[in-house]
Amino acid sequence: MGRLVRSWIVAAVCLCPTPALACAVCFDATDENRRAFLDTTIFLTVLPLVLIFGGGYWIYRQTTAPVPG
Amino acid sequence: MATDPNLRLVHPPPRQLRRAVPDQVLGVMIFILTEIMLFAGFISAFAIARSSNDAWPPPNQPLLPVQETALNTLALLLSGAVLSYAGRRFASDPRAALRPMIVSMLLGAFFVVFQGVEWVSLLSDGLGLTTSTHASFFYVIVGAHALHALGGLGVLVALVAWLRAGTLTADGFWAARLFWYFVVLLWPVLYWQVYLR
Repeated sequence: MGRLVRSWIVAAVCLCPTPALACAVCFDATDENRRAFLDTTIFLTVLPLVLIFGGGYWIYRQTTAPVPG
Repeated sequence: MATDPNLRLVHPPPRQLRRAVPDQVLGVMIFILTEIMLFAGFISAFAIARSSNDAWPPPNQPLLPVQETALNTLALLLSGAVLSYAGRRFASDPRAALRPMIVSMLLGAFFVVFQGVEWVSLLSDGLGLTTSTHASFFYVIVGAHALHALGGLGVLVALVAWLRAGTLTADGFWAARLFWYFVVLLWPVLYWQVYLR
């Protein structure tokens, strides 16, 4: 039974090929579009890390700064 | 079990914690952080859409008023600078901050009204929300910023009222300034992305 199912799956994959897109919104294959995806991925990955660690460092500096007076 | 009646519990003195940031300021900082990510998402989606179109903005639609908006950008930046000056004045004499706060508020109001006039003009020229992808992004991104500017303007009006009533605290003023700086500094980025690119 398992062998039959496997055969059907292999047959379905081989007989019904369709383009597999890396993500649901990859609708354009131009270099500019790929570059935009790469740039925005880096941007959206790095930005929250910079904000959180930057804010955390600023608060740490505020805490450890000498009390005026 | 018998206890010694002379035994007294001695608590250690409470540890003195230094307050790093006032609560209001921390709250506004967290809010701004989420708003930055919102606009980062908008800008990223805009960049992807731009890269997928050969002609950007589409040639068959009204042009955005780049030069007029540059003047408006200047007014908003000036508003932030004047509010920063008000903050320094407030530290020495709160009453002395009133005039720069009013100037900052008026400059902010000028920005918001100018944006409204610009939108009315664009709509009458035929640039609607569904005219093109570019137009949709324009109204969503600039509109989201305009909502923040309106909110910030409301805060500035409240600040002036509280200062006149003598109830404005330094922490509250700091938090409000922080939000307005966010509105002010975000706009040149949006202007560059939406109007100039």
